[in-house]
Amino acid sequence: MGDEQVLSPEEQLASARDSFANGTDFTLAIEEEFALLDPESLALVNRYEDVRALAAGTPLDEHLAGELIASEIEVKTGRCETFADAARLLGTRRDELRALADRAGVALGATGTHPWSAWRDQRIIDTPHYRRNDEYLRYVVWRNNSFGLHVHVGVRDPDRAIRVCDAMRAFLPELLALSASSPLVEGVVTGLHSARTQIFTRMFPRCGIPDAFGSWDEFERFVRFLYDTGSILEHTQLWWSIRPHLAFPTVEVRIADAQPDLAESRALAGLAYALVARCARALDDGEPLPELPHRYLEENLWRAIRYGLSGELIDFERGVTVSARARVEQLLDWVAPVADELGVSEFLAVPQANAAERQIARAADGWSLEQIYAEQVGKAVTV
Amino acid sequence: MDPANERDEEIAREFADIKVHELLVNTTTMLASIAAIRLGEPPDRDLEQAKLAIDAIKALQRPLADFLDDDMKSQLNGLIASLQMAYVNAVVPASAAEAPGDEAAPPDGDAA
Repeated sequence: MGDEQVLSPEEQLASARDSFANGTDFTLAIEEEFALLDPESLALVNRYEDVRALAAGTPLDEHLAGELIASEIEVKTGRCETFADAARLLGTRRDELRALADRAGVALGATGTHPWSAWRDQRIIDTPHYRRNDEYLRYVVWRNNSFGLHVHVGVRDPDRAIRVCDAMRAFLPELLALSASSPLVEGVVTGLHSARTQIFTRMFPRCGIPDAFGSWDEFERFVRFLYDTGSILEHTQLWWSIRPHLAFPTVEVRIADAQPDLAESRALAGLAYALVARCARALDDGEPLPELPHRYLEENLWRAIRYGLSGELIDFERGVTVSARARVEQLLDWVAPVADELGVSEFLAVPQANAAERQIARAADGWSLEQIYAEQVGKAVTV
Repeated sequence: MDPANERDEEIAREFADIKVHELLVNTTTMLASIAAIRLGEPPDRDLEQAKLAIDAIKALQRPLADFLDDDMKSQLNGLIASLQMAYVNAVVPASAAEAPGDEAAPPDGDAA
């Protein structure tokens, strides 16, 4: 998105600390990124500006954003007080976006990567923000044609927000495994379940699972260090898969691949939301939370990228591997009390096969990439 | 023999022939059909009944585990997963409060 950061780094940090101190627990917003496609060929098309122009004056206008390339668009629920509201708005926004896309003569895709369109053919949108990122990241940003789902959850108290982020690091692989929807990219069946994570999360600087910070002071010290050394120019250059946001008092979960299926999108967002709330409650109650060094968590992240929900993840407490599906089921049990309290339980479900597994099964049956993607696009447009 | 006693014995013989796991499999099938109908459009829609049916199928999963082959286990898992996913969309409220113009979510995608 092209918003300029108008605050100085010090102002930004002070304002972020204040806004977390006055923040509200467990409000939320969900963002979904969609591919803009030629309706016939289903190849990516650089039509963002056309779709955007058609949105002017419609209810969707304030909920749309550009996202790096002109063949991508992001849609946001906006702030919601309850998960049920956000779940409904996810559907509403998809309906509104689909209507807009129909008028513009484009189709929508919602897998983590496009199966075959070349990154060389995608145009980076012309905003100061993306021009800067183009200059700064070069090949890393050119290569990044990826589509994700992000969940923002309000967390009060700056130290608590940091400690929630610290704890959430351990659950990012499970969320990625559940969400994996990008086994195809560059015209090949990659063998991965989330090629998006490999081409985006693994390539960007300050991306993926961050270190644990322990306190707002330590987090602030590091961000100030990045500004002071000219390593970042704006706070949005912290691309971690879990981060406290500096413009809004939310913890943002950014690990998930985009979701072709609306129910699966709702269920995934529900689990991410409930996990943040569960971590916050654990901190309040003095319950111990996982504190693992990065090198351990990376092992599970790789497993989630490679094998998704079909593979195994390490249960670090017991030092054994268990099926990724069983790990997700364990998390569903763990969040159950807070999920009941916050009205999320009814939205929690695990698909028999997630979008990556479905696509991989089709490829094994000899379907072409075009046939496989057409089926997934069908899901995104007939929600 | 008293006709009432004869009926009782007949019923007892029939019951003795029933394999409980077969009865439970039939029950899960019936519950799944009921859940699917209750997740449908009005006037059939009744989410409370749908949820009860799905929860009951889940409750039967464990006692059945030793009596099902891998294919049947996988079918049962798939049945539960698809009913739960259908329930997720069905349970979404008809209207939601929107806080106008107050984006908790700042505009920032993956690469923002």
